Amino acid sequence: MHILLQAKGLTKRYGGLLANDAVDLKIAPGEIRGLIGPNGAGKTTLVNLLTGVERPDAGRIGLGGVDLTGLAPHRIAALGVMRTFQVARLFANLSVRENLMVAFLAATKSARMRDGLARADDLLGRATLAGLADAPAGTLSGGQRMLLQACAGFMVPDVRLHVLDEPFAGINPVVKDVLISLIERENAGQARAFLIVSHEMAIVRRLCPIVTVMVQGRVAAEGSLEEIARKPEIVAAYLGRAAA
Amino acid sequence: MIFSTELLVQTLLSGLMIGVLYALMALGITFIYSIVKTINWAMGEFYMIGSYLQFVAVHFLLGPRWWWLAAILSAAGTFLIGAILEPILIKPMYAQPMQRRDDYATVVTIALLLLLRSLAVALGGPNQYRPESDLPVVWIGPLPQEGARVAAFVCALLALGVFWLVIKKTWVGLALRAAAQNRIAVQTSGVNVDRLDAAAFAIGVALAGFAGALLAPLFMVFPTNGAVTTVKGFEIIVIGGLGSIPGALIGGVLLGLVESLGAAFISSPYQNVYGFILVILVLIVKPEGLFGERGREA
Repeated sequence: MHILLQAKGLTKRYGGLLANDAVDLKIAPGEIRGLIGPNGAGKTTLVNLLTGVERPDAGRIGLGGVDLTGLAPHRIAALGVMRTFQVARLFANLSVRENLMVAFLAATKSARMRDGLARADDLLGRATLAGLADAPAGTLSGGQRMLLQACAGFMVPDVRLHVLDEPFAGINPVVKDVLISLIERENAGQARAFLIVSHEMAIVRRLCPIVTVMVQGRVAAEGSLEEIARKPEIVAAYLGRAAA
Repeated sequence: MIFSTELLVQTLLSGLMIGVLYALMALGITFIYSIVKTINWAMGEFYMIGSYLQFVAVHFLLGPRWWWLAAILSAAGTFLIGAILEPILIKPMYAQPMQRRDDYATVVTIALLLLLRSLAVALGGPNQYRPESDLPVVWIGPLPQEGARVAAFVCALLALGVFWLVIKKTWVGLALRAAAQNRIAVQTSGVNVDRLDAAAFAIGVALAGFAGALLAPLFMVFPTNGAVTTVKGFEIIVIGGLGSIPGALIGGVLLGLVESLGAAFISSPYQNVYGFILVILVLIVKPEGLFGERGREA
């Protein structure tokens, strides 16, 4: 299999807590990978390591042959990895359109402002945010913030991997469907790969042919959701030993 | 004290003019704080550097005719010094996990303040200088205004306009505004926040340097001439609210007006006290400042 992202032995320790314990992960170009696991399994830590927000204590990360280990977040973004945050990190006082332009202009060095604005309006239309283009991002609802974060990544040309940290958590079903169709479209049209952290099994089943399960800082299983659901130790990790 | 319309208008005019210069200082402080999350206690020393550069440029190089070019060069020089110093002094604050960033920034910038003042004494001696100014008196109606003061006012307004254009209309301005909102998100968007910090610091101190250059013929050039302006800058920050650009502008003009009215109609030796009375009033009524937001981002 051709590999886009390869993480080997990623380890991150916070004091006495081993948040990531020798995590290995391989993602193919254009793949949509699900990342699931109980709360505290280390999913967000892994996302932070992959996107440079935190540095691993050990292990290496490569993207298409380029070593990302220890690079600053903006360097990793420039190499084609965009992310969203579980608690949306927006530029609250900037307008919705300006929020989209930040990542675009960072990638294109402002040479193509007009293209960017056209792209922004197109995306805002698809994301059903067109009417809010000039509103401050701080006035958006939780679901709209998630959409905006994801769209900011879609603004950037040549992104190879989108990492979405719980994009579906706590947002209404209509917005969920909008986000799902945006993801499917970006994935199909431009072969952008996705790593999606989620607890929403119905959506994971629909979007992700392969799912990686983390339990207590380690990768516990990998495969289709159906295969994984048959493994008693995974079910136990989710539901507790007594239920297994 | 005899009240007259002329006196009132004259007082308001001079308050407004000096207020805009104050606003330039305060804008620099608040702008650096909003991006780099650091209070630069050496702000007045960059004002001082600007005034020395202006003196050198006017007195030795260009002559009083080219005062405006000298002021632009002085601001550019201060900008350069800021751009060089930020990565050396302020950046280490972010390079490694640090428990008490505010303390670090306070110690470093106060050390810088002492260093720059001593440097000024070493280079120029404990003397007062004044760049020549041959600007004629400007008449606003029947009221005579000192030429250098009007020139400083107009240039300060222009500087505010340029600042606004850069912040609102350019890509760097957008990145700076984004960084002020969320440092992490701006990095994961692909922006090099180290360079933004250096740019913000350099722009902020350049505003102070420009103010120093413009006020040099009025308030003289000497090693501690930045001290008073620093104090005024921080008074304005308290009045307007830390991190608020409108707060810096309106607070600056307000302080200028209050000082000038107090000096004209109450008692002029206490000019510097009226600002503090305003500060205390604001702290009682709206402790976060007129445009400030309550609490700070963690």
